[in-house]
Amino acid sequence: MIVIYLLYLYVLLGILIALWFAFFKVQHLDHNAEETSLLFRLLILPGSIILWPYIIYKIFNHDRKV
Amino acid sequence: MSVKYIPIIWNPFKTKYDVIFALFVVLYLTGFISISMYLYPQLIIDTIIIRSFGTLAILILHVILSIGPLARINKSFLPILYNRRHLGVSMFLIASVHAVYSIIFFHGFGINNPLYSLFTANTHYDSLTFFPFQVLGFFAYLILMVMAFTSHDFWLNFLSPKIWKAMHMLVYIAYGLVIMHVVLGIIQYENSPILFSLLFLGLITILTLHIISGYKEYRFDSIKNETDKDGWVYVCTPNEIDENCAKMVNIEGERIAVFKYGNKLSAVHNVCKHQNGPLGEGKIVDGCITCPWHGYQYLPDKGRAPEPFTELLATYELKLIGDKIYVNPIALPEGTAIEPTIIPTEEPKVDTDFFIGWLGIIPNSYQSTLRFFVPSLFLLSIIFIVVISNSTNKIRFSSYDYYKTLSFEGELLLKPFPMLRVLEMDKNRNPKVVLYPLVNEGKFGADKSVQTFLSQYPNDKRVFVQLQAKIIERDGQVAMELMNTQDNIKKIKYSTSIPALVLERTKDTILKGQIIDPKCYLGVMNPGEGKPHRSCAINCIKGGIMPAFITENSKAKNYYILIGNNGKKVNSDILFAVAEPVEIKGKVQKIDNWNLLYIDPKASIKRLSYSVESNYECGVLH
Repeated sequence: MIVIYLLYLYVLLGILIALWFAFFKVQHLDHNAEETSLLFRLLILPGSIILWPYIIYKIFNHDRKV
Repeated sequence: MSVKYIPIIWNPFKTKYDVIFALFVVLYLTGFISISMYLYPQLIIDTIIIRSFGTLAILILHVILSIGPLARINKSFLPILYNRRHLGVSMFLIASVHAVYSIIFFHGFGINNPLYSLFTANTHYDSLTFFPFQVLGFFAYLILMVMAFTSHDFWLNFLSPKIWKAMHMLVYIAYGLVIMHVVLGIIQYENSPILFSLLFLGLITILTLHIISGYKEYRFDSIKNETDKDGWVYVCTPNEIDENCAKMVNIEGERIAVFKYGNKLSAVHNVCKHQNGPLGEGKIVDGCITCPWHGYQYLPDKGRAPEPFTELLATYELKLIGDKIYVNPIALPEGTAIEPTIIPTEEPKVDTDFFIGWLGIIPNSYQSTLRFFVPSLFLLSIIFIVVISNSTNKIRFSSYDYYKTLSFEGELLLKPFPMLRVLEMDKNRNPKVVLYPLVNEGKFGADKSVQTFLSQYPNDKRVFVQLQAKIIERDGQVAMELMNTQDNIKKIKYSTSIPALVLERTKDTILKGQIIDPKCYLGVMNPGEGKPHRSCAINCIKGGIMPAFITENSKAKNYYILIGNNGKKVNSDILFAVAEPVEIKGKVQKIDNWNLLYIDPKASIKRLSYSVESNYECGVLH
């Protein structure tokens, strides 16, 4: 069950990070995402939930360069 | 791909494509469900939904995997490749219905978390025959999920085309897992070789197409290059290149596309920045190199996409010696503009056909292939549905009406298992006592409900009740599902017409058969036995439902409720042998219209190695 709880934790963290990324941060990393529709941001949510560690890595690298 | 992202790209061609595909999905599901309901009215709708969506997802997965090599072998298939993304996401959604429904259905409503149950209900990881095939399907589903969730140009840019492409190549691992999921799952349960043959045919088709297209690529890559004294590589003569098309040359594993447009020649790196499409198989349209896969464009002499797009390509220097074109194998930095090489005496040639998705026009030469291929897919699907439906066996007659609750009166007992003994009339109008095992809703036994009720009457030796229950029936053997509502069981006055339960003498026996959970087996699920149902049966027995043992041959079928030699429940001790052929040694005792089988779970059960279906040709040995 520990693995299942860790999976839930991963998804929960993913949801929080994905919401922040899709609605506030994505346009800073990719200018093509500026002024995009709500549907676009909702569409990238599931992928962001799954790939949140990579998103954090990219944001960290991006902010360090800036 | 370098302007503002659009959530879902639809153009007239894609809309038409999606409408035809949606029509196909609706027709397939309607056909599958209707034929299954017509041929097997006893099949529960849940099984039909799981099977129809599962088979449809596999069928579409085969089409998706075939499109790539087909388009490499024959350009006429490019229009089908153009919208593969929508096809892939749709396939994932269809597979989701199968996956989520199966997990809830087989692993939900029990004492364990459904995901935990998925990995732990069936633990025969060391056996190929009894391998927990649902786990394979789960991992395939995870891969398809990652692919579907990242099927957007945003992810292609964000992850980089290289990582994105590598991630999406995992589809081949998902395909392998799906094949194993089916081979180790439902095919082992079914007797017909047709299902296996169909799957094998699909696998062979995918392999053959990939081998043919791979061989075509290999043959091109193995052509030895001719170089001049400066190390420049010979490409071809201008006459060998069709107007607005390219000739590709492979130099140390990198392909260069040399385009001819009018009397000009330009060379670029062959790989499209969108999804690594082969630009050399594309065409110059409106002055731009246009990728054959998704129509992404580049200026041939500038090595970049036209404004406002920003994608860059490596360019290469060309020279014309006589009528021989040579290319400098050293790539110039991406986006380096080079003046086109001029062909002094080139005669313009007739334009060749080319498909661009966003233009929505399918060239005439492509149409005949598509007119044959698309209706053939529809026809094949109909044949597929009919063959699958007719090859399905072991759909036994059973019933469970979820929406119908009936009222019964009888004697309520907790031991040796929760039961209601009811007085009924036999065929000759003689009274007889019929025993109904009681189970609760979900994957739970009725022990607690019955115990709680009986504890209110500690001084009564026999308790008679009226209760509301749903009937679960198979082959005349019936169990009852109690409602979870309050006041479901009411005490009624003592009835002398029902004789007290008398346990007859026990007889030593060795039996061959299968341990099942009576709730599912008798009708809540269909099929409610064998490998596909193993995890669910384990969850039911874990939840307290009395384990039953069935022996069946062409002459007779017998039901036994398993119980410990000491009269205690053996649920947790027999989980290792559920839903597979076993031999059990024990003592049989008749109890009304059922049998009790007293066993020592540690010593009495012997797992048998032969396949599950052999189980149906065995019976009482002694």
